[in-house]
Amino acid sequence: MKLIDIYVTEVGENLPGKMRADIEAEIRSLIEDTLEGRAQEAGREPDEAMVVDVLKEFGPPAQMAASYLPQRYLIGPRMFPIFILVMRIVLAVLVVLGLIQVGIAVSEPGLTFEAIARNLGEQMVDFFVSALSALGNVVFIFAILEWALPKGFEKKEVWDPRSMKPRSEPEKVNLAALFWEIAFALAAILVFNVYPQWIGMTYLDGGQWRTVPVLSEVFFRLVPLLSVTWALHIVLNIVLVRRGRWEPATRWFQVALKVFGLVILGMMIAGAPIIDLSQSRAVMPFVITDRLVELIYNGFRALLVLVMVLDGFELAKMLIRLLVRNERPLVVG
Amino acid sequence: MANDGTVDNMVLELRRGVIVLAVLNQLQEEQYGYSVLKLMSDHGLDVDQGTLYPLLRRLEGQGLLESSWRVEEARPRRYYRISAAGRVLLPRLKDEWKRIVSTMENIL
Repeated sequence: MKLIDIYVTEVGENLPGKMRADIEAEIRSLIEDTLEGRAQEAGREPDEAMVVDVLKEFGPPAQMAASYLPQRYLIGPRMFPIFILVMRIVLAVLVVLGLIQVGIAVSEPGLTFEAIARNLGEQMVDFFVSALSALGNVVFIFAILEWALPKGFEKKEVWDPRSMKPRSEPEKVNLAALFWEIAFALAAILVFNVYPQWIGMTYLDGGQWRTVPVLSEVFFRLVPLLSVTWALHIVLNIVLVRRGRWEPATRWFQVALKVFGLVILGMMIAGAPIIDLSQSRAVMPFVITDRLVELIYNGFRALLVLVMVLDGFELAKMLIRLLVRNERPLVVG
Repeated sequence: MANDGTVDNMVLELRRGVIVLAVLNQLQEEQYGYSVLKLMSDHGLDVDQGTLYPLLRRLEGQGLLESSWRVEEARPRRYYRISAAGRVLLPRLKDEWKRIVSTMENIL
């Protein structure tokens, strides 16, 4: 009967201490009763083959032990909804903090493109590690709550349909605004890639209008990235025109474009000035002092920082809406 | 088309509540685990050990059964019998079962 001893021991190993001895004794008794019954039916003494058949019917030890235990959860159905909400809030906060850190990292003056790319890479690794740690802590806390809180602690209220929160109507898009955005994006791609000389300071020279460029070489190195952003905005707007409303996928795409835009803004702020007034100074009828040039450069940089901050807030709002509130548009019949 | 696994699970779900009623009814007389299994099988209700034996424990935990060890026989055996609370519940379950059967006969 060695197999039976091993089986009973293995079942016991999968049981909590306080019930182990009792269930081990019961299972042994049940196995031996079953074996006795089979032996009587077969008209022979129990042998190893019979023991193997009976134990197969009882099932693997872990499975037999599990059938004696209540269903166990790390985080069960009663805590799961609030767990998911907390995870979304934590994730949203982490993303916003991560973006702020990215902004700070790339806004150091004098950074090269390679240094910015390296900083971004490091920030992404940091974000991943922080997210893993923070989300892991949330799981740990909720697992403890699941274990510690008594069963049935949650109030059982009578549900009233009037308690449901109002929902937004499906988010329709403004077609006129979308077409204008497409037109402007196309114009921007055309002008900055094909007619960059149009962007500049225009002056009258001997009865003829002339334009001197004000955008620097640094800016034109960013034009391919900007063009990609504008092209992707056009794609997004075309999809919105066809669908007629915002959906989670288009919202997320908008978030990605916003992040991309913020990164480019960061590069503009961190790098050398994107405007170059050296040629303009030569042709202006009045003197543009170095101080004034510096003031204009810093003013422009401050403007970019302001745009970045405003875009950052907008991004945070988008993420909170998508991750925390997780609002689906109303499903209308 | 449902596969064999799905069908087996559905059949198991269908029998789950029935087994509780059958067990409570059988244990109006004291029985041990294997004898309950045999009795059910003799009546045409086959239940596997992995379902029945833990069920006896759970019903005892819910106060519907009582148990005690008997060591004077060939081997120690745990005997189960319906408790006072189980005796109160059993007629209600039987009535509910009859109602369900009647309803299902109309539906089917």
